[in-house]
Amino acid sequence: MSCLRIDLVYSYLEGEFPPSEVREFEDHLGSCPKCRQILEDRRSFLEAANTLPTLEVPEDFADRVMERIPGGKSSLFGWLMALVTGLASLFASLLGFYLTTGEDLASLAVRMNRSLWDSLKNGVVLSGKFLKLILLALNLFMNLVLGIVKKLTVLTSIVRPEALALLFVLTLGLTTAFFYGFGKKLFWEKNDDL
Amino acid sequence: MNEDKELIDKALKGDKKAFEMIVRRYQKPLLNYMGRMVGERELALDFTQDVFIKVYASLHTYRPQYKFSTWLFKIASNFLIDFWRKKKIQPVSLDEPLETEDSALCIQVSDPGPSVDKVYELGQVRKRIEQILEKIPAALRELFVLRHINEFSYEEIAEIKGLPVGTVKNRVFQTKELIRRKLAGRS
Repeated sequence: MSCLRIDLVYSYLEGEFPPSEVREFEDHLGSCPKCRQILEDRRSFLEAANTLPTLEVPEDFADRVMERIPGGKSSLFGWLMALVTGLASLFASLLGFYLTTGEDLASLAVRMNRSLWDSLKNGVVLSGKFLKLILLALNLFMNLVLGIVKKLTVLTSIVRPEALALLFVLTLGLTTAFFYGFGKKLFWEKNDDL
Repeated sequence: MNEDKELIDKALKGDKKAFEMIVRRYQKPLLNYMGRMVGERELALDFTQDVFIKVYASLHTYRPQYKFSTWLFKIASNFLIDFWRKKKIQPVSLDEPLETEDSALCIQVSDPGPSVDKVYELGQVRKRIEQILEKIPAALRELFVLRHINEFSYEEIAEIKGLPVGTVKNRVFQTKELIRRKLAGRS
């Protein structure tokens, strides 16, 4: 048998060598110092490569992963804990109240109920008043618009159509001039700033 | 492993404790893979967490005819490819020939070269291997890590990477010889 290829030396060391050829290879090793040296060298290399130090995982790693899982047990547990804590706080507050004021829970519940009913009644009255105010404002606005329309009707019946047209053109001109002048003023003021 | 499949079945039915057991079982091999691939412990921890979250989200796509560990590492490997793509780092393609000074790796026993164990003690050899691993192309490092740290068979690595078994064997061999030569101070 001639000297072996190095990839097959690795196969032999890793137990991937065809079993039928193992005997022949081992016989060759006995008579070939070069192949023995190659084999020992690769064996040392593989020994080191297969036993490289490993990274240690933090103890809480799995817990941290589970916390990130949607609807995970950890988060359900968290919700339960929050609920229990909330109920416990309520109970402690009620107990504290009872101990400091001497009132029992039943009378406290009646008072709370009465107070809630009063708040509800006040809320309804306030809402009614607010609605009435809005209706009054609407009525006022409607009256104003109707008044303006009536005055305009009277004006058109007194003044002749030519004068009315003149009045309209004049009003339009004055309005345009006013806004144009205002815009120009703004423009100059801006340029002054520059 | 059948135990993995039972745990996955339970996890799919909503048993979070079963998934936690999967995490505990694979956290160390996955962290060691990530650690070797990204080189920073904190980043490796974050990535390992992210991979487990990804695995949980796609647990329903797992097919029991495959080994769970190879499926898990396939997700991890794809996760790293995405990460490198986003960072615009191009890992060496395994289909291309190795372009290193050791590209003409001698496959025949002609010159055995200096022996590794004569140059360093075992502890030192391990340390040097770690240092060399950090410097070799990620695609080659990945195959070496999967084989020698995660102890996958060549067939399993081929499944993880979607490559022919022959290609994987050849690349792992070339990587080992590349490291060994650097270790023996020949390049």
